[in-house]
Amino acid sequence: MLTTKIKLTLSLVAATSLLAGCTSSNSDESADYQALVQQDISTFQTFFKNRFPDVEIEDYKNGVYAIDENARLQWEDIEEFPPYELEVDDGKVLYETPFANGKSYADCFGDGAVRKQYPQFDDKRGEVVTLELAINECREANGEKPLKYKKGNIAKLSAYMAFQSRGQIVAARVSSEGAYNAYMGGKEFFYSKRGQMNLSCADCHMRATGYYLRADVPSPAIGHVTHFPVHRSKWGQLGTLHRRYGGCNQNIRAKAFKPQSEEYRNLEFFQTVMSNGLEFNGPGSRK
Amino acid sequence: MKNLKGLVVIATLSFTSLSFAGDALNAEEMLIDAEEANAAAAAIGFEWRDTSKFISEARIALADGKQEEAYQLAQRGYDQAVLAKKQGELMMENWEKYIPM
Ligand code: HEC
Repeated sequence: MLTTKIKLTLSLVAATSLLAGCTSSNSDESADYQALVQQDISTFQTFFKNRFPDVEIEDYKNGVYAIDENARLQWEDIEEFPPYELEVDDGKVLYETPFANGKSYADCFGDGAVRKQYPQFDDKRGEVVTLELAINECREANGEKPLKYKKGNIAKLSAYMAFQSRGQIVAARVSSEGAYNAYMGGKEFFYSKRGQMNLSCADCHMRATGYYLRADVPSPAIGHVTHFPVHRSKWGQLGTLHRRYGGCNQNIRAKAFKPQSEEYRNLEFFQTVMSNGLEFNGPGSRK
Repeated sequence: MKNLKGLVVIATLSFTSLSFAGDALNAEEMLIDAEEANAAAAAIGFEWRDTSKFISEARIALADGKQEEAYQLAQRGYDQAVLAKKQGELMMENWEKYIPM
């Protein structure tokens, strides 16, 4: 009696695991990569929890203002009349203006609320596709010239799309070997010291975050990607994330990579995964 | 005995290189070395910001016939490029050791 019961249970277990094995043989692999990445996310987020025990994880979408109370009060004043407002309006006009062939961005992106889909790893192409890259590919597919990547119309368009997408949750997935390699490329970039000053992103945006470096406090790296493009008072206009990457590379006297280079797209992919769970709240304003 | 032979070879080699070092590497050769070294640093993604500026300034100085200035600039570029490549190699091997916990 007992033995039959055990036998029955055993065969049931075997049957269900067989079934599970069959149906998920594809996503099995992806589960492994996602598990590896999940571990990184938790190590990364724990670092900031320990550094700033009073800051809620969700608040890191506000960059340096999550950790610097004085600066935050000034910033909140500025955000009452956001300096990017007119640029978002321009972006809307650009978004709705038809291409020469009569189509428009809506044919590629619907109502534009697609922020959470980017960056994504495209397995067929074997590379990371960012929002800005997708915007230019939409243009080219419709016979238009690509836009320059650092500022101007591309930033206005992505600002409008970010605005349309406010409240979406960051959920970048690493579900194939190719995606994992791209992710690891970005991770290696983030932690590698470069330039004459021999500093890594992590040196400033993890080790030194919260401390003054000359006149600035480097923001926590978690949340770096949520609010781009950003209107900086220093720029007097919107700029893209890769423009900012280039600036940070130049500041440590490393040669910057081109915006939308493979290096920066992988870096963006890694940084986005590290911010999984936060809210997209772009465009943003910064000093 | 074998060792001794080796030593002699090394001594001869270093002597020849020493006797060349004084006058052999002119500005133009230094410039070529700097360009090659910088290309090697760039190839692994670790070029520094100002290196190519030194190199192009060296090229201009050379074109103007300013040998000494050209040499100095090219050497600055070369020294940076060598360090940049070393930095890159070190990082490619060891970056995971620099992850803050
Ligand atoms: C020498 C220190 C330093 C290094 C190294 C550095 N940064 Fe920065 N970074 C700063 C400072 C200071 C700011 C301006 C304050 C802030 O973080 O908002 C900044 C700003 C940024 C911003 C904008 C933050 C926002 O909220 O809008 C991003 C994104 C960024 N850095 C990413 C990077 C990445 C990626 C790297 C490595 C490639 C890097 N930084 C390397 C110091 C540094």
